[in-house]
Amino acid sequence: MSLKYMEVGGRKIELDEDGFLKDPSTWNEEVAKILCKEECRDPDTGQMGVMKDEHWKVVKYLRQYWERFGMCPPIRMLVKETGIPLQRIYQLFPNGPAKGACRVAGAPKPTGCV
Amino acid sequence: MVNVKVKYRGEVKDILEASPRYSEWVKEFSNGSGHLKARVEADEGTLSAIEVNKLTKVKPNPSDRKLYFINRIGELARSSRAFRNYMESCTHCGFCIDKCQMWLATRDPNNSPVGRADLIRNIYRRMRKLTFGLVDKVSDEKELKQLLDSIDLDKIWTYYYQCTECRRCAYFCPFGIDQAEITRSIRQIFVEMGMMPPFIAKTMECVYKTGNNMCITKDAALNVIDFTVSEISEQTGKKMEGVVDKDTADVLYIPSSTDFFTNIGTLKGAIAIMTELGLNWTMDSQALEVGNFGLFEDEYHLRRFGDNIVNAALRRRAKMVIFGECGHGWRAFKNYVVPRLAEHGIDGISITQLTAWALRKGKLKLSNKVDAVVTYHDPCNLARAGDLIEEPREILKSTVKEFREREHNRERTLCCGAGGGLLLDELMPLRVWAGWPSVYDAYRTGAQYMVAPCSIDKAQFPLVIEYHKVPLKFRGVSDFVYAALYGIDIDSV
Repeated sequence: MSLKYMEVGGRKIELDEDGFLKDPSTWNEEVAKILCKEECRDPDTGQMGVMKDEHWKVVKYLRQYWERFGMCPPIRMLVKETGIPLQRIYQLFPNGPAKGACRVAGAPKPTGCV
Repeated sequence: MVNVKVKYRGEVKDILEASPRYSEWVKEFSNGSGHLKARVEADEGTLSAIEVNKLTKVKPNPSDRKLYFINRIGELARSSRAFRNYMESCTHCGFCIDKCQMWLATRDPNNSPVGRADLIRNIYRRMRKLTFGLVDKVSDEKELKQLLDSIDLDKIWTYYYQCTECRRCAYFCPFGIDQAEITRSIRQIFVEMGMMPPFIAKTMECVYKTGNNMCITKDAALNVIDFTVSEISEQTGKKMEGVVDKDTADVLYIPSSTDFFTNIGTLKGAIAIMTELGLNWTMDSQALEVGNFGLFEDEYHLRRFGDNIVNAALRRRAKMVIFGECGHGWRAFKNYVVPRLAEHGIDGISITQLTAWALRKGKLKLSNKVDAVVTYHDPCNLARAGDLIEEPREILKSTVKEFREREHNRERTLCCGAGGGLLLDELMPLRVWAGWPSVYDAYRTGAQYMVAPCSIDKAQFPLVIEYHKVPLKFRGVSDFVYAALYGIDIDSV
């Protein structure tokens, strides 16, 4: 098993085998930008790795919630609070809210029946 | 690979060819499914958090592992008459092969009930040639060496993590050989070797930390419940309370933890049903989980997670435990937890049993039936292991305008393709094809909604439906009850 790392501002950030942060507290906006290269899509052009205002809105909300409650919010709450419909979230994050957007927000991989 | 045509609903057409993604199947599975391996958890911290180290009985040295493996097969054969019977009585009639969705999905002979069992049966047979010194030591040693050389643990791991423990083979087998039980036994041995897929290990770690599969803390649960009851109030104008950790209550409700994340509609349904029935109920923040991943792995965790529910019921002095929407958990609950609860004079029933009873007695007044055509997917562990077959149908027939029965239903239901702990990202090609027969069966009814009271189904089927571009939506049973109670559009639940 080889661990993956990424370099951010001279720091080594450890990732798990699915590419999620091993330690969610190592997250910052630079880390989000790097994770976005694999997760974020421009909804207009379909190009991957593009981070726009809508992506930030989702990611910042998720991060805020995660820091307070230690989990990602229910998908319905995310949609309601950001005002971005679920379909649009899938256009922004092709891997979906739980495995795509939450990953960019630095949350660990969701467990259980998801 | 042999090109086998499957007779399916009278048509001699291969079910795989009925999918618009068939060309991708050819690329993925031309040489079987041996390339799709569940990963092995390597994080010592996770393994010790779930006490696997305590269960581990052998060093990770390959030859030690093989010797341990055959010794455990020998022990199983001595201690379990069922296991011995499954090893001895197969006549290789082949009837199970095309009953298995894993074989239908992969056409890999090792990935059929008989093929999977033969990976172990071959070891079992060779072991019987050992005389344990009765004839002569030399021939025994030679035989043992040949046996150990022939064992490919990697291959056994691969194919024993491609079985969903759905027990469809057991239903059709003339001898009643239950591959799910063989799978459970073999996986138990792997756990004793310290081997478990990371997804399952990390899920179990959450249960150790918080009492549920998703690491939901009490604060987070309360926040989600506040959100849920405020949505109920917006949609129905009714003020309801999602009760958590009430000191004592008549009824303890155990939800699936995913109802707090992806399936809010099911949580709304459960809260509404119990409130409308005027029950004195509560949830317990340490037991927000009906699922029991121990069922997929080993007896130790199965018992431990079952005890968590019993302890919560005793803590709340409940007279009855109501089990939320979950498939595999029901098998563990009905067969292990309910008898334990009964020792303390506590009843245990499913929310679908409660709802069906309430509808029958006229205790739940529906506003109007949901305008939708639905079909029901029987979750394997409800239909083939839990005797919960008619209640969900009764509920759907009362709550929707049109209910259509699909062909492969009740005990003959087709598996979703992700049960038995196979909800793994690394097995995605296998999952989308193993779930296809069930989706196709539902699609053939012309229904708009495919419904099941099971969280694995709720996670798996939307992916399968999306992958094969089928015009179906997937929902839980209580979602429809909620919509019918208050005349709400099911898509907004």
